[in-house]
Amino acid sequence: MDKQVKNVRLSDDRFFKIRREEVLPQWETGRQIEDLDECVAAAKELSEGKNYARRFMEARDKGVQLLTPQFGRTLTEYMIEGLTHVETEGGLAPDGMWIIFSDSYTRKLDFAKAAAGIERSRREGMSMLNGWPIVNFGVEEARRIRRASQVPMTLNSTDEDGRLSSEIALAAGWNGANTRSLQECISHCRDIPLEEEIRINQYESRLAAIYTERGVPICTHNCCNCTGYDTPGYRAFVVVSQSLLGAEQGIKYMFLEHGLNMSLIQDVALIKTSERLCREYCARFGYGDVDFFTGGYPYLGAWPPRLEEAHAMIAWNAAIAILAGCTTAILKSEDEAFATPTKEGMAGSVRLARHLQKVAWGQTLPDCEELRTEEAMIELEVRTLMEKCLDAGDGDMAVGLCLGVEAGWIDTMFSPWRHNKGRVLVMRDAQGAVRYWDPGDVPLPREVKEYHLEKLAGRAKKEGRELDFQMVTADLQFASILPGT
Amino acid sequence: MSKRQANRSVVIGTIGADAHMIGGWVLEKAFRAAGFTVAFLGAVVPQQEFINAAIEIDADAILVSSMYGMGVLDCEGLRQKCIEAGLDDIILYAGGTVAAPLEIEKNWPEVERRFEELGFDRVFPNTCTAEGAVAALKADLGIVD
Repeated sequence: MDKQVKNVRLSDDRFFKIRREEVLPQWETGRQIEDLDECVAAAKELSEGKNYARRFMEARDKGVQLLTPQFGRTLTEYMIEGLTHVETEGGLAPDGMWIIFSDSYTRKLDFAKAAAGIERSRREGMSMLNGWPIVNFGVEEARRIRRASQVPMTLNSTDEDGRLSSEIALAAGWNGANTRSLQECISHCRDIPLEEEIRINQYESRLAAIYTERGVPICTHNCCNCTGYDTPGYRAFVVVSQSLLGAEQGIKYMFLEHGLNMSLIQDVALIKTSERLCREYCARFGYGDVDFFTGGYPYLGAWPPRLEEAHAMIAWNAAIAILAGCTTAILKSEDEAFATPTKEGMAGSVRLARHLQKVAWGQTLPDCEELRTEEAMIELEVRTLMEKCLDAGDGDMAVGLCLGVEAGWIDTMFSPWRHNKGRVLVMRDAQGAVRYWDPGDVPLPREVKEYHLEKLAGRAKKEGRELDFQMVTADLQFASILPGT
Repeated sequence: MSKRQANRSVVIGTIGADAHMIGGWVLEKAFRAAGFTVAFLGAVVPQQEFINAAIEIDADAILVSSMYGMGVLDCEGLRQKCIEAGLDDIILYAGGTVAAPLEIEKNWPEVERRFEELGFDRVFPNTCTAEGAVAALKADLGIVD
């Protein structure tokens, strides 16, 4: 099958043509960042001492684990108030950094609706959008927020087209962008073909690389956050495949953001295996100078609607990232089951995780037989999928990914994306690890398939009943149902 | 509101720019198991698609899921569009994490007031079960099995 998209670096001509004709005209605030030289110079000055990639490197050198809370409210004044509160009251500075999220209208490029949400928030006196509409506010407001914060900042504009959002964020001295393709399709998209998504994200990756080449290191987020109901093999594959696409565009720093399934050994295995395979595959294709940092992203399934249980979730997710030796632990807040995070909720999460780091005393999960087995199983699955992609795409990862999704051998259980076949069924085993009950058309090596089924047989035995579909649906709420309800 | 003949059919989907689809997925299974015809639209569903599907299957109800906190904004105008499409008496439910600000979400009577104002028949918090939603709709339709 002939694919238009190839895993090839965008030329400067092509990049600036897309920038001029496709990206900046998406909304009127695009005009404010036409002069890329000015953007880079301002970003350099604004992020001096607060550079995201550099903070990661320093932290790793010093053996410090960072914390990354997340925040996003409709109005700039709410943002500044919230960031300041968490940095001082929560003790985030200096060993922390921010993920700021935009609202979902902005992520879908519906800037007219975001504008209505801004007006509505002013009228009602509260935040009616679920994030900060960076595009509507534009670069000067983003720079105001940058100046108000003491720690590195990144934008989570996750969705099919975050190019204009990332342009504004980078020009404001927020130093994160995204290396994404399959991750976004699976998590947030409905109709877009993967080929088009890869094309869009080649631009964003190239943008990050241009800033880096001009002296403002940008660390992109390479995520596998998915839905919270995906196997670690699939998650690791998403990240490793995306690392090749990002590296080809010239990215030098990648943050591997791993959505956690909350199964300690399996999650730690996922984090370690993904980083190792990203390094290996990048080196194999000639991108040996890419550096990787790791982080745990708290469980993306349903959260419990009561404080004590929510605190347990915050602590357990942070503990997994800490025990895995991640560079940072991303935090959710006690508000997760109800609403977008409040500043008080996020400050509480930072204090909780800080104390956890203190009492954990730098311990990490030691190497053990169970960990080695999980790592081996994830590695086998990832290698099988990677090689099948490279084979199908005649050495081109972008082409191979598109063909794999079309044919259904790249597949996961849940997705709003209509191109995902969804023939896979997963459930948790007796220890809470996520296993394939039915791998659909995913070409799992026999050994991996048998291992997963054997683990699930352990659950059937423990519960004294056959595996059934009800177990799949019950697993969806395993962490959110309160006792007695 | 004139009572129509119930024919056990529902439209289910996640409204607006919201990509969360698991709530709808679980509801679909539960309503099918309860003998309903279900048009399951997935996630990121515009208002008009709910209405088109409701006309197509002659639905008794539209069940709107919203998890990302902007349900209040996304559900505005849906009742009006239903009326314009001739679906005057269709039942509208919303459920999930429907309001972004904690000030509203923690004040459930305020959520109910807002959704009643929007022309919705019921609104459910994210703690509701699929079975609970099935029981509520059967009660509203006067279905006794």
